[in-house]
Formats: sequence, C-alpha cells, structure tokens
Amino acid sequence: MAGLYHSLNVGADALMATRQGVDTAGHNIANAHTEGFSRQRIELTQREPSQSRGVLIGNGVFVKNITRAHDRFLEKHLNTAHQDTGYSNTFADQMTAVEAVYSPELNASVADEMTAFFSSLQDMSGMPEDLSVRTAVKERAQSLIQSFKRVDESLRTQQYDLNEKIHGEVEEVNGLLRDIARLNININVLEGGEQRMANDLRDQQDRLIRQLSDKMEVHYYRGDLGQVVLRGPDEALLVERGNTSQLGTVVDSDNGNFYDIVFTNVEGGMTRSLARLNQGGSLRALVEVRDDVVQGLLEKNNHHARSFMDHFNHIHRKGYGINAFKEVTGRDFFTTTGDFSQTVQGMKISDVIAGSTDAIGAAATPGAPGDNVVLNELIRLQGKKLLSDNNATFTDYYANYVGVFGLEVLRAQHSREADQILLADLQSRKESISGVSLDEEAMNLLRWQANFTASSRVISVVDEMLETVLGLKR
Amino acid sequence: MRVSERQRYNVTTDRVERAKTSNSKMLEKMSTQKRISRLSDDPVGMGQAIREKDRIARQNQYQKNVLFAQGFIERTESAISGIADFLIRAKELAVQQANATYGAAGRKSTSMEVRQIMDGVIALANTSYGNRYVFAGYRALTPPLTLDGQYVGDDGAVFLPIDEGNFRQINIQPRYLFENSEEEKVAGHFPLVHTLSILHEGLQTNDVHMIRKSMEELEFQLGKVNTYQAKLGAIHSSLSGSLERLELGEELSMESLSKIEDADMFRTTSDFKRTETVLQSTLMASNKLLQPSLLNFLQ
Repeated sequence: MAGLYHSLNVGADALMATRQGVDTAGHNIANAHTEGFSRQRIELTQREPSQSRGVLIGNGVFVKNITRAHDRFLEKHLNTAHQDTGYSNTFADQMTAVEAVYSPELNASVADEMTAFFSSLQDMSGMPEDLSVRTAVKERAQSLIQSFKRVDESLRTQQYDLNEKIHGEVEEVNGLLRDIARLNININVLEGGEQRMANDLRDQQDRLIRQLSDKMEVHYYRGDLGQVVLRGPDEALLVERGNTSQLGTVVDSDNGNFYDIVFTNVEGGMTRSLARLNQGGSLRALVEVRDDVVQGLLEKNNHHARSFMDHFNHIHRKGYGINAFKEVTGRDFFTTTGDFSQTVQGMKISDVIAGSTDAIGAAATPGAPGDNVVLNELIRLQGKKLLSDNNATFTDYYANYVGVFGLEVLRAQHSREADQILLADLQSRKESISGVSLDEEAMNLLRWQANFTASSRVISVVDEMLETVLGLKR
Repeated sequence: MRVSERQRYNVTTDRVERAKTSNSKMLEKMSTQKRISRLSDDPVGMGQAIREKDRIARQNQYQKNVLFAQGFIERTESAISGIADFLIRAKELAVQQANATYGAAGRKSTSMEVRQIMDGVIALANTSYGNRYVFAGYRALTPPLTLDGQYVGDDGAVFLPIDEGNFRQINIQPRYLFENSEEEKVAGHFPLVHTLSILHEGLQTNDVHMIRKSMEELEFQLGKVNTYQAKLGAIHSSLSGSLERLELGEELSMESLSKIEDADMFRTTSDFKRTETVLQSTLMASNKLLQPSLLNFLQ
C-alpha cells in the first residue's frame, strides 16, 4: 500500500544508493595506485514493484552488488606470462652475474696467462741453463694455475649463492602458500556462499598468486565458495581451502650436496623432488643456472686444465733437467688430484719442480744444459690443435667456450626482453580493464553528486507534500 | 580504449627507463672507449679478441726470440771472424818465415806470436753469450775447446721459435771447424789448433819443411772458416727478414683487435648525443602526459 511514506522511502533509498556510489568512487580513487587493485562498480537494480490501486508502481533503487572489473581469462594468461618472465628474468640476471667471471676487462684471464706461460717457455728456450729464466717459467706456471683457480673459485661462489637463493625462494613460496590459503578462508567467511563478492580479498589473492607465478610453475582455478585450488609442477596439490602443502630444501648428495626442492603434501606424507620438474618461474632459472650453466662451465674449465696438464706432462716427462736432475727424466710439471671434478682445485706445480727449478725438463739428452729440444716440443703445444676433436688449441678452446657462453647470456637477455614485452602488453590490457581512471571516477562523482541532489529534492518535495497534508486539518 | 592511471604511469616509467638505459650504455661506451666491456656485448667478437691478443703476444715473443737469436749469431760471427783474422796473421807469418832468409833465432821469436795466436783462437772458440758458450752445442756451460785444441762440445742444434710453427737453428755445429772429419783425415788434413801447433813446432825447431806444410794447411783451414762465416751470414739475414715480417704482422693484428674492441669515437659521440636528446624529450613528454586530469578542472 503506497503512501507518502512510500515516496519518502524511495527518496531515502536513492540517497543511500548514491552515497554507496560516492563511497565506491572514493574507494577507487584511493586505490588508484594500489598494486593489484581492480576498480569496483556498484550494480544498481530497481526494487520489485508493488501493486497500488491496480497498477504496479516502482519501489526505487537498491545496490544489488559491488563487483570488480576483472577478466579471469586474461588473469590466466597473465599468470603464465609471470611464470615465463620470472624464469627468463632471473635466468638473465644470474647469467649476467656469472658473465663477470669472464669479463674482457680482466687482464689475467686463462687465455692471457696461457700465452704468457708459453712466452716464458720461449724465453727459456734461448737459455735453458739460466736460473732466472727457469724461475720465471715457474712463476708463470703459478700464475696460470691461479687463473684457472680464479675461474673455478668464482664459479663455485656463484653456485653457492644460487643454492642459498633457492633456499630463500622456497621459504618465500611457503609464505605465499600460507597467505593464499588464509585468504581462501577469509573469502569464504565474507562471501558466505552468497552472491556478494569479497572483491578486495580476491584482488589480494590474485596478486599473491601472480607473485607465486614469478617463482614457480602454478596452475589454479577458483572453485567452490570462491576458494582457489592451486597446483604446482607435476600436479602437486599446493593449496586447497585453508590447507597448504609445504616445499622444503634438502641436501642432495648425488648433486654436489646442493639443495633439492622437495614437496610434502597436505597431509604431511608423500615427499617427492620437484627441482627438475618445475617448468617455470625464478626457481627453475636458479636450478638451471646452478646445475647446468655454472656446472657446465666448471667442467669446461676442468677439462681445459686437465688436458693441458696431461699433454704438457706427457712431453715434460721426457726431459732432463740440469745440475742434480741432469741424468733423470720422468718428472711431471703439474700435478692434481685424480677426481676430474676437482682438477683445478687440486692443480699445482709438482713438488719436485716447486723445490728446484733445475728439475724443469728442457733437454732431450742427459747432462746437456743448453739442450732445448724437449722445451721446443713443449712450445709447439701452444699451436697444436689438441682439444675439441683436434680442432682447437688451448687458447681456442677457452675463446670458444667463453664465446658460446657469451652467446647464451645474450640469448637469455633477448628472451627476457621478449617475455617482458609480452608481459607488459598483458599488464596493459589488464590495466585497461581493471585499472582506475581518475577522469572516469571524477565523472562518476559528478554523476552521483547530481543524483544525490535530485534525490534530496525528491525528499524535500515529499516533505512539502506531507506538510500540505498535515495543514489540511488546521 | 580505456586508459587507466596505472597504465599511464607504467608506460611513462617504462619509456623513461628505456631512454635512460640506452643513454647510460652509450655513456659507458664513451667513457671506456671500448665497444665490448662485457662478454655479452659481442660474444663472437670477444672470442676473436682473445685469439687476436694471443696472436699479438706470440708475435711479440717471436720478435724477442729473433732479437736474442740475432745477438747470439752476431756474437758467433764476431768470434769466427776473429779466428779468421788470427789464421790470416798466422799464414802471413808462415809465408814470411818459410823464406830461407830468416834464421833460427828469428823463427824462434816468431813462434812466440804463434803461441799467442793459438791462445787467442782457443779463447775465441770459447766465446760465450750470456753464460753459454756459443760453440758448445748443448753442453753450453763447458768451454768447448780445451787448451790443447780438443773439441769437447756436442753436436746439439739449438732451435728457437721465430714464427708460427717455425723453428730456426741459431747456432752452428762447429765440430768440423775445430776437428778434422774422416775424409779430411784421409786427405791428410789436421784439426785447426793442431795446424797452428805444427807451425809453432816448425818455427821452434827451425824446420822449414814443417812451416811450408802448415802454410798449405792454414790455407785449407781458412777456407773452412769462411764457409762457416757464410752460413752464419745467411741465418742472420733471414732472421732480419722475419723480424720485419713479424713487426708487420703485429701491426695488422693490433689493427684488427682495435676494430673488434674499440669504439668508433665519432659514431659513439653522435649516438650518445642522440640518446641524450631522446631522454630529454621523453622526460618532457612524461611531465606533460601525467599532468592533466578532469579533477583539476572541477571546482
């Protein structure tokens, strides 16, 4: 039964709705620069009409829901792009860090020292009996060993850092998983299974999932009651409702005692390794650089050093020394451990030569201090193509593998650029849909303000009418 | 298209970032004067640079070796020509003293000079370069000629690398300069110092026959010395040739290294100018872009 009070109610409802409109516009403006925020819109709906004197009359307006501008398909794309960018970004960063080991500004690279060592041998070739020249050869050999070791140590430091980073990232992933699960519960509580949406919480959760995507491979869908179900690499269930699985790091003795990433499922059982299964995010990059790139470079360096030592020693053993060593052969110049992976770490000048430079075997005949035949054979090693299936000299080998690594760095940087452009494009599309435009909000404010004024007019008109009605009695 | 605030800010920061990055890269190039300051700037070029540097260092070393070899040979040459001079003097004396006009007393006193010549020849044969005896072969620390003219060196040929894979012998094997070979023995020739001692003995014992014999023998020895001199001369001149070649090669390698490594100053400067302009205009445009909003016009 519609009366004047009904009209008053219509006006009051309208005021309420416009106020909510202003609030939402204000909320949007306030969060214009909040990371991950999606602009919100109020959904106005007219109330059910009621019957009055044979007609259906409108009952005014109410706010049915407040929704966020959000495209969940775009969000999926974004997540994939985050996984790719997280990977290529970290990969390029770490490669750039490793690159410094082979900086061209360095003046004592393995190649430089190799050249200098052979030069010192040539100096000795002219006067193999001279103590000072022999000492120079020993010093040069020491510098060469140092340059091999410097590469080895720098690479191992990088590897160690990467290992620690993996540990840190896994910890962060666990934190993110817990936050996502907690938001699941909060969303469930706030939405209560009804139409209304906990927009701000969903925004936050989406943002956390994107952060997680930066770190690892993630698949997800929003299931029952607005709660997210998260799966990781190899379908490992990470988050369901308020429950989370945990990732952890354990020392892997099969892989140089570096960390492996293991997964423990929701119930706390069933542990498995995810390190090599993970196909995205920074964790994949860190594992790859640690186990493939840096390890590969270490092996190249070891191979370089080992084959140099082997060839050098092989010839050197034929040489007679001078003074106390003028009648004996069979000495190694360099020694190292038998373990290939420790070649450079264990590399040193053999004790007998470290003890006396007289032991350097230059001569092919006993008791001939001026004999440089073996020495010349050693010098010939410099130009001999003995590595890479007899295609590369010792210097070539270094130049080649460093060059190939440089190309990998370059490729990593290019694919980072490509991924970033793709991500930026998606982000721009997302912002175009979800982002706040101040101009638009200003217009909304104007609209609501006008509406508020008009609704107030309705109330004051009804008020005047009421006064007229009440005045009838006077 | 809807344009949101964050989109505008993101685009702006992105643009400014990009302009700054290329600007600072150019600045780095300008200040280092290098085209490659890290490996990924040009991995292929870096590989070439490593090889080129190695080549330059080797060419440098070869030049050092050649200079050493030249010094060694010059020392050898001067010793040999000294020996030749002594032999010529001895021959002169022999020719003079073979003449019947000279008596026993004169010959005896001349024998003193011949003795000195013998000592001189032995001293020259034991010439050293640094601390190695140039005529000793591999037994470089032992004087190769004993006081009675016995050759105790060996036949070691000392080779030095003077170019890629090119080893050159820098000493001569002087055994048959000081000794007589089998054929020479058959032909009745003597060792070098022995020839002088024949002369010496002939003069002392006043034996004209012996003096005559030594005269012929000295002629033969002088011929041998001359062939060795010629050998050395040939080695020396070919070394000078390779020195020139090495210097040229080094120059070329330096040039190609510079092409790989060094920045083209003219281009770098103009590129830097360009990125600077880009940066400035980007900043200016960003300022304009971020200013206007409807809110500014609302009262």
